[in-house]
Amino acid sequence: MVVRIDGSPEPEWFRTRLNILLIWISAAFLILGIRLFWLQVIKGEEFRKLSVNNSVRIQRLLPARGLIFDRNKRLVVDNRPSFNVKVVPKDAGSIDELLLKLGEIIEIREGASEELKKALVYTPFKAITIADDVDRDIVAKIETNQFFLPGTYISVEPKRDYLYPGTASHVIGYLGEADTDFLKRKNNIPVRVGDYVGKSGIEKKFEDFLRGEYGGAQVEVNARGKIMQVLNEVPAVPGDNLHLTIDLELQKHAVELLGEEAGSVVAMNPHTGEVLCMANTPSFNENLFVTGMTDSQWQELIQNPLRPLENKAIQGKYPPGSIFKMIPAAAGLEEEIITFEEKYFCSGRYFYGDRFFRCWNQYGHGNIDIKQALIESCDVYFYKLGVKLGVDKLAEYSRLFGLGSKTGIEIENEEAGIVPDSKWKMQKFGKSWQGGETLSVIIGQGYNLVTPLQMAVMTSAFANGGSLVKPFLVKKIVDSTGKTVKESIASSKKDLGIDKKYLSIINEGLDLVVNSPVGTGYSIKSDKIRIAGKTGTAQVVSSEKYKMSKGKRKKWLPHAWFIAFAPVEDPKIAVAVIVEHGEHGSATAAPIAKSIIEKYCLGEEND
Amino acid sequence: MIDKRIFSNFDWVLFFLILALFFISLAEIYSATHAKGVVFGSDFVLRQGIWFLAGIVLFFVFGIIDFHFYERWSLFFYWAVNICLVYVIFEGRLAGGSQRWISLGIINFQPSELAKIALVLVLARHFSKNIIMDGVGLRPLLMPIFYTMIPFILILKQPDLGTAGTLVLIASFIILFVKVEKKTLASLIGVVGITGTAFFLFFLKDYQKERIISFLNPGQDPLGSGYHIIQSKIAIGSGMFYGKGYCQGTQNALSFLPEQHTDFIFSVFAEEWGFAGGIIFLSLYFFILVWGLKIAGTCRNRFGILTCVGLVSMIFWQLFINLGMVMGIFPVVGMPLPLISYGGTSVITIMASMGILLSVSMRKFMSR
Repeated sequence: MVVRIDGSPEPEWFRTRLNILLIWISAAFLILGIRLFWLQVIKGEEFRKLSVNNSVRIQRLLPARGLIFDRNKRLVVDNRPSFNVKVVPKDAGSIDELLLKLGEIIEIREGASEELKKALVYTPFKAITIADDVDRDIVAKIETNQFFLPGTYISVEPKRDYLYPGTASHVIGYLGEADTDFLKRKNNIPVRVGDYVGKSGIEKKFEDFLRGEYGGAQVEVNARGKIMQVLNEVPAVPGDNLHLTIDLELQKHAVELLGEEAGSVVAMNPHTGEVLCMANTPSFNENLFVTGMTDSQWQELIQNPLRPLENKAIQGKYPPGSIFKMIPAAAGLEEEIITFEEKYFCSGRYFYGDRFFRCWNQYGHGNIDIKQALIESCDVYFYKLGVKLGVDKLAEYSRLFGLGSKTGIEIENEEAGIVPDSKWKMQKFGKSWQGGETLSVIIGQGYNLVTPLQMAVMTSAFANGGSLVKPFLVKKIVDSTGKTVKESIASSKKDLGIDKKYLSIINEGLDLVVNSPVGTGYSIKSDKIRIAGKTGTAQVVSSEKYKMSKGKRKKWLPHAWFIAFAPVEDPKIAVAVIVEHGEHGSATAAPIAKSIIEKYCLGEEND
Repeated sequence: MIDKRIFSNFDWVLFFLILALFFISLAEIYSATHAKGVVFGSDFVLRQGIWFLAGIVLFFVFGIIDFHFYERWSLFFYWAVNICLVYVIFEGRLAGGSQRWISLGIINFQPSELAKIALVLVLARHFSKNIIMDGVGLRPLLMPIFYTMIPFILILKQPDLGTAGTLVLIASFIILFVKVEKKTLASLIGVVGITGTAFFLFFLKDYQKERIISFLNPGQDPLGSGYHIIQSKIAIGSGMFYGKGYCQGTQNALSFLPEQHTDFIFSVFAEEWGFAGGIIFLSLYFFILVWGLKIAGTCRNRFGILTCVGLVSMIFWQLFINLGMVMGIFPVVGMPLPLISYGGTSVITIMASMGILLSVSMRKFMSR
């Protein structure tokens, strides 16, 4: 609908409105004109001078990355100053001449000349790094020869310094140069190619806290690129400091105990989920990632069959062996399939389906109840329990204790492991579950796969009276002014709903594993502290194959497991230890657990 | 179909003003990108030339179409653009980042640019039916505010603060033109102030707040916008009264004005042509806007008048913000200089708007 406007007062009204508009627009242009006059006529001379020298440069100020402390406030990861030789292409004069002179002092990396020449065209005022992390005497030489080295300057930048390389490498992680993917994701912060960012572990996960804020300065330089004055500066803000739950002393001790073996030690506070120790061997030197490593060093890391880069505590998937038996024990009692008095007879073997399933003790354990079955780790007892329990019920309880899913610890690439049941097998292999397979699974063999951290969490559940805790590594985040940004006390605790009296029966069994002369862990009985534990021996090949090759091929030896908590009366620490191909849990893994527990519990009392 | 009279009414002034700006644009893009050793300079000029040709075709096509057509289709166009905006947000989410354009094979078009024209048309249509000469109160403003808020929120989501803000400025301009009661105006300013503050305090993420703060105070960001501003001021100022001469600008070496052929093109111009050239440049623009208002003044149709006012406002805000920014009056936002900055989307949008102005201009004989 268009309204005729002739003859109405409207045209006049519109004209008035348009005139008002014209006045406003004129005013806006007047402002622009006056501003132009100010810049070009009144201030023109001044700006002309600045433009003749092209003398304003911009410098980036890198923030110091947040420090990392252990639970006892011991500095674990620090920054140190590193000296980098930089050249501003436009100020360099002749690039070939400059490189010739610089070459007398430092080794010029390949391609530097081409890079500088290219930059001269595209980004002539952006400094190019010619040499990274040079020695102090080189710094002195460059400073004294500065007159002959136009456009060259030393920039002091913080560099990561791992104070205990190889001790907690997998937990802390390392830095590396930011890749394009990272730069794209973080396009709201001025990170550039070549900047170091967290690549794994805590360093990666807490990158946004640790990084800090970039600063910068506008500086006026003379014709030789020397800074005459700072026009404007925004200082860099250091990153937040992290306080880990890790006890560095315990961590060091665990690495020493593992020694040459490949394995993992996880210790945690069973009530809160604080991870006290997460040690993996073999390990690597984190500093190599910052200072740069040679190709052969890198090849050695990635080709080593013992997988030094792997965080075995969360990435290693192992059959649990007999330490798994705590779960069917809890399931049997809670489901009232067994009672604590009920005894099963072990003759050393059990006939099921069409064949015999052996107990590890070929002479048999005789008539035993659940507690005794745990103490002596009788397989036949559990075979009989397994037949009654069935694999699906067993799987249900395994999942209850956190198996088959990630624990949710902060660092990345955690494995979930496998909890097999009939549905899983149908999906995976398209075949139905065989009763005999349940017998393998219930003693921790078969398709079962767990990580050492999952075993520590499971152990914690028994130690703390039946709650699943979520393990965590970072206790507190404190910003550079000392203000606490974030604090975790116990991140999550879930009651599993298992009757306390059943748990205490199992715990009595675990106690006697170590403290009864017939227990499989009696060899590590401590006279200083009462330890409860469970041994495990996880076969990696069939028993026939293993027997044939006995002692000859280490890679066919079973993995040695030991889980423990202590003191029994009031548990303060839960531990899971695995020694790859360590043969018997009681012989190789258990002494490590004992030593860790003693160090932690007794060390604490000494404080 | 087409009334022959429109051709005798062809707006030569508008056409020549546009050609003059095109000429300046190509010359300055060449100057800004020719820097020695940089081979792609002529490439930019060529591409911009092609955009200009396409823009001129569009100018004629939009001019020949009767502007009543725009009135009839304005609502449909408005909602279509909003759907495109929603689509862009979802597409961007899927791609795992922010995205502003829809890819049409060889060209990517930004629906947020079209949103400016769509908003102008839909508001012109709305007010053409609801003129209150004594000034509108609050209630008649609800619908226009609603029309503005939808694309505003969608563009803010992208997130593109600059374009979203421009929408609000364009709408305010039109609303103020149709006159608002003093009382209503005062209360509106109050409400906007309070909700704006609340929005800032409670709804924005930290980094968005930071962006706004550094936007209002570029001195805080000496590496980013603050640096551009100081370099831009040096470039303009060093031009002094007569300028350094064409292609003689020293500040325009690539590193100094990172976007010297797009947003900072006026700095290049002012360095080379000085205050004398700058004033001519400003006058040319001023004249285009005045001409747009003149077209509105001779039009005898409410929708036509209001559309002209809206389009003038759209061009005015873009150039005022851009020039204010490069001269260091305003903070830095990504805002191209209409018809001068390098960039296809901007050229196409402005030329389409100019075509609509032409359509109104050529039909001043019509009273309906």
